[in-house]
Amino acid sequence: MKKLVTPFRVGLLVLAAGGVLFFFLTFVKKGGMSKEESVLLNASFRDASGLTRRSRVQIAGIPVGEITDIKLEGVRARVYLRVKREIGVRQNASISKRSESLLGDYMLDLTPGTEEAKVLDDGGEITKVVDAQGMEQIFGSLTTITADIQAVTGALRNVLGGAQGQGSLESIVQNLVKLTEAVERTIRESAVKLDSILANVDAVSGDVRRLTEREQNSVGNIVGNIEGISKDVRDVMASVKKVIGENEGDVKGSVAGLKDTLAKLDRTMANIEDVTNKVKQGEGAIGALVSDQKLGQKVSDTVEDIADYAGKLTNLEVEVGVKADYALNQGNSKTFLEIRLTPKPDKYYLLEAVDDPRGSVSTTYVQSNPPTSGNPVTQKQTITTQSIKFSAQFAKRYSFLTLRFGIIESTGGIGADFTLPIKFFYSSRWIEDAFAVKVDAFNFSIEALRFPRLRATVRFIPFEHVYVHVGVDDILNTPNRDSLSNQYVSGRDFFFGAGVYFTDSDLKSILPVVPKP
Amino acid sequence: MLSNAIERIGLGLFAFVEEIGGLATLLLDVLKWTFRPPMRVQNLFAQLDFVGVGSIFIVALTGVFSGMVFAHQSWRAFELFNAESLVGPTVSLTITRELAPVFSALMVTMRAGSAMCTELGTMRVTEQVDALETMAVNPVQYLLVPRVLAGLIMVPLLVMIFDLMGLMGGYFVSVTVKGLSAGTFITRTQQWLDPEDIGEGLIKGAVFGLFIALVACFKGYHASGGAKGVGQATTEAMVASALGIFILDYFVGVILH
Repeated sequence: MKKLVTPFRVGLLVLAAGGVLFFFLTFVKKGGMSKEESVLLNASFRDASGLTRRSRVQIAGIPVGEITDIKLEGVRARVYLRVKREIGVRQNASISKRSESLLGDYMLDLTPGTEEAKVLDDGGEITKVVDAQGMEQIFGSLTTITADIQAVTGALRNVLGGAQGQGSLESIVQNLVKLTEAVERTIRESAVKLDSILANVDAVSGDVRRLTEREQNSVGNIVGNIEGISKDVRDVMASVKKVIGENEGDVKGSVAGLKDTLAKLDRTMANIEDVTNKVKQGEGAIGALVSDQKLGQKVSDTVEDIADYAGKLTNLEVEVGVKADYALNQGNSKTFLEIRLTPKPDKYYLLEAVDDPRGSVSTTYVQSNPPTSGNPVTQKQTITTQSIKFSAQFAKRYSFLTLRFGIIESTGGIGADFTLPIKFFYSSRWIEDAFAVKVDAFNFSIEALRFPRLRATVRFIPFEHVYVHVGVDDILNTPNRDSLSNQYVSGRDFFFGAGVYFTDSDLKSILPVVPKP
Repeated sequence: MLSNAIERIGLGLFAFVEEIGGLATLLLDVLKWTFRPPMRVQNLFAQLDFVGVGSIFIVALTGVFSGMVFAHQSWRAFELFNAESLVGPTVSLTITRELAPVFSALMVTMRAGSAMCTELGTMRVTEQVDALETMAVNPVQYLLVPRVLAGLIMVPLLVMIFDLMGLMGGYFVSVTVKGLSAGTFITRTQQWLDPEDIGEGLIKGAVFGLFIALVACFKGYHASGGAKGVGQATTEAMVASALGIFILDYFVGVILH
């Protein structure tokens, strides 16, 4: 039994030790670093201190290779490194030495390069070597910094170390305390104001926000307009540049001319200064006007009155028209010349000259027997004369109703117009007062008439400046003809007619083209 | 007085050189008789079992604690430089290159070398060796070859056991006790540890195993003077083996690099 157990135990030990050896060899094997799977590259370093064989080469903190050898080459160190082939190190790759810890343990950071460069193969050299700051240089810098700090602290000690320095420090501290107290007081006192200001700012910003929200389209339009304007300005500037570029000589000439002009202007300004000085001193008519307060006030009032008058004149509209009626019973036509003055839209003055075939009727009583022959015998004489009648009316307008009063056909009378605007099918615009019903009442005191003369007219304006009308004249009275001349002197009569009218703006546009005699 | 001292130094030097010569002669004898029949396999396995299997526990225990102590101390040092990640490589390289072969050889010397020397010395003073020669059995082949081969073969195997246990001890202290990242310990160890390092430990183990077995056999085989002589021979064998291990460690290390 013992013969079997002893070899078995020895065999177990051998197997265990062999297993451990296999584990170790597998464990320490560097994957991907065989000659087939890696490339051997080299780089020349000015300082390779801290780098040793098997120091890591890494990209982005991930090991991709290791240093295999370091050799002295002249005064530089040639470092050989093996990098995984799959990395594909390019000709424009760069490499730098970096400290791994304070122990002076270094590694290499590799930047593999970009795709446009060729891939390095075995024996290739990485030419871009970045010499990073080594720990020695860092310690050197720290030494310099320490010396500076010592100098500063020494200076501080000299300034603040003595009794005088201590006093200065106490003074500074006291000033600081006062300053902070003042700041605190100011803040406390200003807190309410600040709150108010902030509230106002908040309200304003809210208004602006609401405004911009509500007027978003308008803001957009404004921005668009500004863009358009800036574009136009650019165009203008480009044009100006172009013009200047093309006409450089002209510009120089213009500048020279401008200089002359400025010189003249300078002289002119000197003269003006002289004049204004005299005016200021009250010399001359203008000086008296300016320096005399009373006279100035009068001039001011006068100018104001003139301005008011001129404004009224300027606002006055004049309308001139001619119309003709044909009276059916009369068998004759009646002609009107009208001038309408409209100082304001709601009132106007109407002046007319009327050629009426009925003429003017006047009645006189004459004593036919001598005054001494008993009771006087009077005789009534009705005389009809053909003369021009005049109308002068004042009209006041209330919306579609216009009331008139004044002299109508040389007698007192009143009138009323009912007007409506119409948009005809052939026109694209509304015509004011295109439809009108007019009623006039006058001749209240003529004895020959039983009732006052009442006239109703319906008027249409189918086109601007032209109208037609129909109506009934002397509606209330019965027809009456003169027994001798058979002339129709009064009574109901139907008429129709047409007319034209022009406004002052029409006349302004017409008159310049009228040939001059 | 001075002459006596010089004489003693000279005698000691002579004795040292004489022992070197005796060891070399014995090594040649062992080599010569190793390849001569009959092959005494049972004897060889008995010695392999005694030297190797019997030393596993003590070597493993030594390995674990060596790794733990070394990790603990190196941690304290590297902590000052914020370079704790280097504990793994330090422990692994030190153990595989130096500690495993040296400590394994010392353990085998103390446990098996002393036993070999005492056994052979006792056989020598009780004339059992002479009896073997009388029976036409070559004592070198019968007694020494299995022991020397056992030392040569088993110490490298024990070195591997030491390596494994030492790294486990270092891992335990660094990762479990000190809180280093396991990934850092493993990757950095992997980065720094090479097959050459393990091979160096194995070569050293073989050299040490051969040396301690030769010294133990030489001292025991040439023991004289009864029980006292055997004891003295054993003491001399232990001292020579221990000293020889450290001296050889230096030279083998230099030769390998």
